[in-house]
Amino acid sequence: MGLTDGVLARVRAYVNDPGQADDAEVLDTVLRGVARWRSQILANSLGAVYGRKVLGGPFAGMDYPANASEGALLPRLIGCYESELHPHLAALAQEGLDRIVDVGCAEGYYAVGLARLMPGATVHAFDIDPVARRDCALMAAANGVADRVLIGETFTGEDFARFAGARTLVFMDIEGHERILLDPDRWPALRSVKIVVETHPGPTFALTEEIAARFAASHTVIRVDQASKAPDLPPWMRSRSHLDQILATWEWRRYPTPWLVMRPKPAA
Amino acid sequence: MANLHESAVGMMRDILAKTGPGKEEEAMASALRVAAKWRSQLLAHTVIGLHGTTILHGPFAGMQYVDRSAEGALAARLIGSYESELHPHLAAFASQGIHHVVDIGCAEGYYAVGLARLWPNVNVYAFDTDPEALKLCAALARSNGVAERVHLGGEFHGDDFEKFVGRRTLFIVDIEGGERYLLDPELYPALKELQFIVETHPGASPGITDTLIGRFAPTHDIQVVMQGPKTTPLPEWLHGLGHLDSLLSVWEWRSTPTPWLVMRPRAAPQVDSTP
Repeated sequence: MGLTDGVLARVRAYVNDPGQADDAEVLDTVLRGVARWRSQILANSLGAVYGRKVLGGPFAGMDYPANASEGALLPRLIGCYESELHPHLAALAQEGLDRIVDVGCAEGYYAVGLARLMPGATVHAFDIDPVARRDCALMAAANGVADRVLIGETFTGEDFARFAGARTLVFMDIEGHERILLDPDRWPALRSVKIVVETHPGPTFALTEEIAARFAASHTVIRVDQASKAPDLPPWMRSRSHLDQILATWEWRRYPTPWLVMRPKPAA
Repeated sequence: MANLHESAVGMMRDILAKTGPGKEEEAMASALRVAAKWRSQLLAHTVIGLHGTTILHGPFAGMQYVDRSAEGALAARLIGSYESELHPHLAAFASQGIHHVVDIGCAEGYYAVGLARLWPNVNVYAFDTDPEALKLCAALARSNGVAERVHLGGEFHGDDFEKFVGRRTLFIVDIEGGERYLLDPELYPALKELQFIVETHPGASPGITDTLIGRFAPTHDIQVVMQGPKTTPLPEWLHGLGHLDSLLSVWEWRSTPTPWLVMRPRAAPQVDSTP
């Protein structure tokens, strides 16, 4: 049981030599490590009960052969992962899109999920991590959308020009590099596309506000914050402890990462 | 704080030291619980530091609470999300008109005092077999100015059910498995005419949820209420912490589900007009 042994060894090392008493940071890190372990154990069990697929939300029915390369698998399988975005994704699908540019696609939760959700759209998915690209291809194939999920490596600002137009959605989650890439002064094509971006503010810089300000002139900007959520849990989860149920919705985020949903304003 | 930290680490060390082969997963789950309790208590301290001990949301908002809870989950109680699954049911009972509340297993008085505050014309009869709990409940009633309407008793006897028949009484029962013996309509026929919110404890008394449903199905409409994730609004500063902290702040510490049964007699003549 490799998953358990590794974490167990780390916890054992900590409790036998906890260092400075009352160091809340360190014990919190241990807690998060054990909680992630539990989240993975529960995800594996859930997959064994229902099959490895998304059970609820807009991507319900999506086969999930991959591991989550970034963050928690369990809420992805339950279908409540980043559910704050669900109404926005539904609205964007309703408005009609020809292409989605998924920058930082990881294993393809959104790339493949959005391809399934929008059968008329082509997804251009990018990730610099070869494992992520391999998993994304695996997911696309498993869900029969490989012909509409085109996977690339590095996305550069120059690429925006290829995708200009209001029927493009740029979907971006790149761990802070949005600060560099979402610059409409350098890449004016950004002023014409729809954008959903997960922002990664740091302790000393308000990146969410900074990016919202860059697009205030060209776009209507909606800020979406993490909210409490009470999804319909699958029956197997309902008989678990309250802690397990809480972990079912945990998205592993250490700090808030507000999203911005931005649509180009109609030309005056 | 140092004490909380030290005792959590000590408990985790003990759990892992006793772990034999094949029991690693179980031990890790126990260690997780200990660490999560530590964090939950730390969060409760932060809530108290910032907001005091006044309950922030929910039907008991404004209640002066305490800075420790014998049964844990203090942060959830102070935030007001605690057992929020029951909030709509309490409101429904209130709209039907309640004159008396009998709280069996009142502990420190979260419901006994909370409902006395919420329903100013209601008399609450609060029972607990633990004398320490009764002391705490009396103190909580005093600090919330409802002592004259919160009447304390030790053990509740099944023979007393009939005193409340036809008197618009809501029974709240949370007695850690003892519901198997107390809530027996064969033994106490008055039960057939009374209305309840019962926390069932299948962990302590296997099968009790279905047993009670079987006993009351002939006479009562029964709703089964399961615990779940929470959507109670959190204080702003909690949103600035990690996602796990906002989740643990409303964690209720239960190790196994304790489904509630909300039971109303089908033909209930509630004639009492004098509170």
